[in-house]
Amino acid sequence: MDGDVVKVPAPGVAKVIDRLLASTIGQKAVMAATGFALVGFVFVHMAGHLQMFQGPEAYNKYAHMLQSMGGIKWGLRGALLFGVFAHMWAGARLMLRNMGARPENYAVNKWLAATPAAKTMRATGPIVLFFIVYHLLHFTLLKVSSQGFDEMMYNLNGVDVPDVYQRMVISYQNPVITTVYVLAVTLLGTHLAHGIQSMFQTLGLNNATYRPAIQIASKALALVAVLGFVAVPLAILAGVIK
Amino acid sequence: MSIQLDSKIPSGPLAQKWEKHKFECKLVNPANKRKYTVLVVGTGLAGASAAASLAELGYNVHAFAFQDSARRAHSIAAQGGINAAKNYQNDGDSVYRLFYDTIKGGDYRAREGNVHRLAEVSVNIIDQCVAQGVPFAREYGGTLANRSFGGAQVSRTFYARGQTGQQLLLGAYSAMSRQVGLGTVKFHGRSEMLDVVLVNGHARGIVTRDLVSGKIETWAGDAVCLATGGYGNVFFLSTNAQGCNVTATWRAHKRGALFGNPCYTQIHPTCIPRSGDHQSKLTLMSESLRNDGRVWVPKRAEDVAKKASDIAEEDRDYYLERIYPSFGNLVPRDIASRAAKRMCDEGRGVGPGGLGVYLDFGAAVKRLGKATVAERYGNLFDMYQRITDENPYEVPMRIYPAVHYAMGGLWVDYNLMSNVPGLHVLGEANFSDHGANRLGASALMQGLADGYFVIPYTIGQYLATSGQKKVTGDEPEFKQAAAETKARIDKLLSIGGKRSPTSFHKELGLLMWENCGMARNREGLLHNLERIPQIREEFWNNLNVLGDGDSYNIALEKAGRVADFLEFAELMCRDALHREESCGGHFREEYQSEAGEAERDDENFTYVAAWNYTGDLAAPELIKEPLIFEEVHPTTRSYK
Amino acid sequence: MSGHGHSSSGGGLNLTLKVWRQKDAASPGGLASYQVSGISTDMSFLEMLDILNEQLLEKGEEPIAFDHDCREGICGMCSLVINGNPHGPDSATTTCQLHMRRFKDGDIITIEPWRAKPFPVIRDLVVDRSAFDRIQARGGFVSVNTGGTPDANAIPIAKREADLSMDAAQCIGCGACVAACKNASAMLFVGAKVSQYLHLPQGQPERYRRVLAMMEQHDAEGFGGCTNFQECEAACPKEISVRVIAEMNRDFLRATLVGTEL
Ligand SMILES: Cc1cc2nc3c(=O)[nH]c(=O)nc-3n(C[C@H](O)[C@H](O)[C@H](O)COP(=O)(O)OP(=O)(O)OC[C@H]3O[C@@H](n4cnc5c(N)ncnc54)[C@H](O)[C@@H]3O)c2cc1C
Ligand code: HEM
Ligand code: HEM
Ligand code: SF4
Ligand code: F3S
Ligand code: FES
Repeated sequence: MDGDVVKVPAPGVAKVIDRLLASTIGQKAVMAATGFALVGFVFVHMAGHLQMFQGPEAYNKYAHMLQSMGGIKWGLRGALLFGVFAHMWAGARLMLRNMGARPENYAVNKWLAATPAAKTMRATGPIVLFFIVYHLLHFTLLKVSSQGFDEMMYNLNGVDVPDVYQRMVISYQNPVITTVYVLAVTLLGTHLAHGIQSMFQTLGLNNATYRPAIQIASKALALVAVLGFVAVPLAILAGVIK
Repeated sequence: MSIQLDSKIPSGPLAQKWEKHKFECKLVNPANKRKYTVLVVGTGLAGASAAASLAELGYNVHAFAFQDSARRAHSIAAQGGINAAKNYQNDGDSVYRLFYDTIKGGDYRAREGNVHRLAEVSVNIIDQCVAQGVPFAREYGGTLANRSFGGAQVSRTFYARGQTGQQLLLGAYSAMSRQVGLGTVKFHGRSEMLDVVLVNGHARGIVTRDLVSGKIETWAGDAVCLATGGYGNVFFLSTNAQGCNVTATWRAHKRGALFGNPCYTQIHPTCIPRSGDHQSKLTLMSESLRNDGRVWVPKRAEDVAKKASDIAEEDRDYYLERIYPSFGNLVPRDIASRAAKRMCDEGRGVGPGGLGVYLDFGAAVKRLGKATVAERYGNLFDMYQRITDENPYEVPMRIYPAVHYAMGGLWVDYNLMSNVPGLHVLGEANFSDHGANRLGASALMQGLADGYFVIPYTIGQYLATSGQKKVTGDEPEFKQAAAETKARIDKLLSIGGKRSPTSFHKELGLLMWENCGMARNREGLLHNLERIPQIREEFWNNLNVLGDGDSYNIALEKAGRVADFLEFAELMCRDALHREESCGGHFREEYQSEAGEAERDDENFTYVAAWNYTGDLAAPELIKEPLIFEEVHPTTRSYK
Repeated sequence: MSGHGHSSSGGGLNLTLKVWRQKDAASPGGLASYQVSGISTDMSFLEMLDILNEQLLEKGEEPIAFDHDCREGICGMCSLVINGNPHGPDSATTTCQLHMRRFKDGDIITIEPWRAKPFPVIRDLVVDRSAFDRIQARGGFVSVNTGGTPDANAIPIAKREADLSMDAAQCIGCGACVAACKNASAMLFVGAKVSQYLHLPQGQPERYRRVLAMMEQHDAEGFGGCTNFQECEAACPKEISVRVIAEMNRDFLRATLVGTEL
């Protein structure tokens, strides 16, 4: 008789997926898992382009190495794309549900504890998305600049490779572009300041003992990301990298 | 024809009565249980545990409560703990000792058989609750912690911080929820029982009002269990929740169920004194405070207005320690309450209106350190400070007695069945186990004993032997009861007078507190018996209830309850008047010793006063159930 | 308007109350303005409303319906959003424990009901919280019948675990967490129940079934999903920590992914 209380689900992967995609905790876990992958990319990406400080040779070599990874590259790109999509999808599902969960709002609305970062997740996320699109057009699809990025080549040990270094320097010498990047990256940082600790909570890796540490670490990592990213454009604008 | 009361206490040695009775109870065939419907009214500790246990056995249960959820019943408010004769502390406790303490604590006005059974099943209750996941306090070794409580000299009280009632109720609620999920209990929240339906003299149904839609509904079943709690709110101000009422039991009384010992009410000594006219309830602070706090008043009446800190040690009268050297601050509730009243009557009370005594933690803070005191009582201190704006670590608390518990209730036999066949009464709503005074931490025990361990056996006995035909709810008795209920509600709505239900409630409460409260005398009771009918008269002519009966109407809800209190109060005063002795919570000023101690009259009053409604509130019929003591011999309670 | 004999000699507070009035679930509601005067600072918030209600009745207006019962912070019945704050401005305090000394003369106080799709308004400030009971009925229990249980001391439980369990078990089911959460999520409430049992040996056999079933019901009732705003924790009168949500998430995911219940 007890079996009637809790519907024991039919076994199978389908059920696992269904539960992940249909439940609020599952959707949130999807966001956290994809968020985790995206955070991973962000840090690797940041570390990578900090090599701009080592000059054109080092940087273009690195860029070339990435470009020539072939299948792996496309695999990673696919995974990233999928991650962004899944993250967005789950975020949107939750957001719509959550907006519907309070049809009549309060006359007096107050926040009690949430951080500014938490309050703005719904905004910073999509802004970052727009930024990514813009950023892809800019450096990957080369559709933003009319400064002949296509032709910029760098002679790396006798081989002509795209001069990504040069593209960056030219771009960020433009204060407007740099401003856009700095702003976008700052918003990404806010997204992460809440997102990273939220990930731990979502995946159940939080507890009373580690909670303060996780919260501090989350903010610290977000700050590192922001500083790491803005260092290059600002350095170029300031003429440190030429 | 006068009713003959049969308590159905099994014969044989005390310790074997319950075993024997369980064996002798008729059983209902498991396959047939499903065909029986039990209506459980009230889902506090007693009702929720009964609903869950009966449903587990296979009965079809409907449960009702006026709150939205079973989790909110007044049992939730119990702070201190629950007794059980586990003797985990190896300090000499036993079933017999718990039995003995309870009989003595009740001032020899309870049945031996019932009380012994209560002590026996107390141990099962703890097992049951732990198995349900009730997070009782534990020692570092992982075993259960105990404390001594309410004047007991052994440590037999189990507790969950200061929220024992909450945790026990949530346990019972969870057990019931499980059955709700299984479909064996159907819970009807925000549903108030307004009448019992008798068919062929047996209780076969109830009338309820859906508090949200106002719909009057009838429910048919094979037996009814009332577990609707106590009537302390007849005093308006009490530690009870706002909704606690006498309606269910009073309606049953008017249908023929006898009311047992209505005058036995308990006054709890450690409550926060009232601060003004606006006061809507009194807040109890756990009795455990008396374990470390010292009670005193100034020796001289001139000093009462002084700040406590300005009164020198030698000018303080630690009166409990002085009068009762062996129990000191831990004397039972009735004794402590009356002593406080006496001090205030002498003009030595402190705080607003001189209605308060000090409960001082100064010495405890010195002896144990603030941290230890905070660990033991921090949440109570916070509560006190929230209400009074005074910091008990620095200035002594002020406390005053307040109405807390109703020992009286519907008369039931050993099977928890009233004299109306099929009408069972559980928990605080019945009169059974506490005599004239209840010991701390034993109401929770009784509620759960009734619901988990007694009614599941005894209801089978009734169902298997009652030989009644099925009812459908279409019988004329149901129609008529519903019509009467409806008419009563229409009447309340149509008076169109000037006064609110609350104003009548306050007026009644004040009168009851003055003359039928901590101390009573003939003159005051006679005064009440004159005044109450007058207030009732005004109530029915000058009541103001707006709105209609077909919606959520809080004034109407309240008015119905006040109407019943106005009738019940009269019976209470009559009972108090007729009992010409002082016992337990019932203190008649005429019957006291030189030193102001209660004087019992065993020769003339060793009986349960069960009152029969005769149709005339002024002339109820008194039926006596003699109390027979085979095991213990009533002595004067002494805590000196 | 007079203080109706309730005013303390000091004159007390004069306040403007804006109270949500709504006849029933089907009718539209709105804020109505009332004046009260001579409110003693020793009064509780609900006693202040009692006085207003007496005044309304006298004037021929129906009193304001609000939920309450124990008036000592334990039954979980009282449920007012006071100036945007579920249970008012004091932390770890239910509405019924809030006292008027917290307010100043001349204050304007807005009083609204809990707001969430699964908590429809019954009347005025009273909402229907039976969704909580339905969640409970799906798994908020240990499946043990009455009787036949082992001795209570047969299974030792570490004090720390018992304390963690008790911390969570203190939830009074008031719903302030839902009222405070911008997503109207009931994760703190469900998490508290789940956490109570997962720290006890008695809770282990049904540990995973419980969390799956209770969350299924949570979602089916229409509560929002948690995005870790942590507003709930701040509003909770029993100071239930969001760690219970983390614990529940962990068990839910473990049950889902590792297939403990598959
Ligand atoms: C502040 C306080 C502290 C206490 N502390 C302790 C303690 O530490 N230890 C101890 O042992 N005891 C204590 N007690 C006493 C104890 O809590 C109660 O006696 C006991 O819980 C009563 O349980 P019950 O199930 O009989 O009734 P209740 O818990 O009062 O339940 C009554 C039920 O009946 C329902 N009901 C009532 N009337 C109607 C109606 N007309 N129609 C439909 N439903 C109705 C209610 O909705 C509710 O569900 C305390 C009491 C108070 C007031
Ligand atoms: C593409 C557009 C994006 C949208 C619309 C979006 C939106 C959101 C939203 C609504 C949340 C939920 C907030 C919460 O749960 O507290 C969230 C969480 C998160 N986001 Fe994004 N985001 C986007 C992009 C990104 C990117 C690019 C990253 C990483 C680089 C990222 C990392 C995270 C992380 C780590 C979380 C926390 C997940 C969790 O709480 O479990 N997001 N995002
Ligand atoms: C200011 C900081 C940044 C700089 C200087 C920078 C620079 C670059 C460059 C030069 C490329 C092209 C690499 C190539 O074509 O070989 C690139 C690609 C990319 N960048 Fe950034 N980037 C920055 C910030 C970000 C941020 C914040 C994100 C996302 C959160 C991001 C996401 C991407 C993605 C998704 C690609 C495409 C990778 C691919 O081609 O597979 N970048 N970035
Ligand atoms: S978790 Fe806190 S706020 Fe939520 S219902 Fe429980 S006690 Fe109320
Ligand atoms: S406020 Fe809401 S978003 Fe989660 S942490 Fe609390 S449930
Ligand atoms: S009225 Fe019970 S918690 Fe407030």
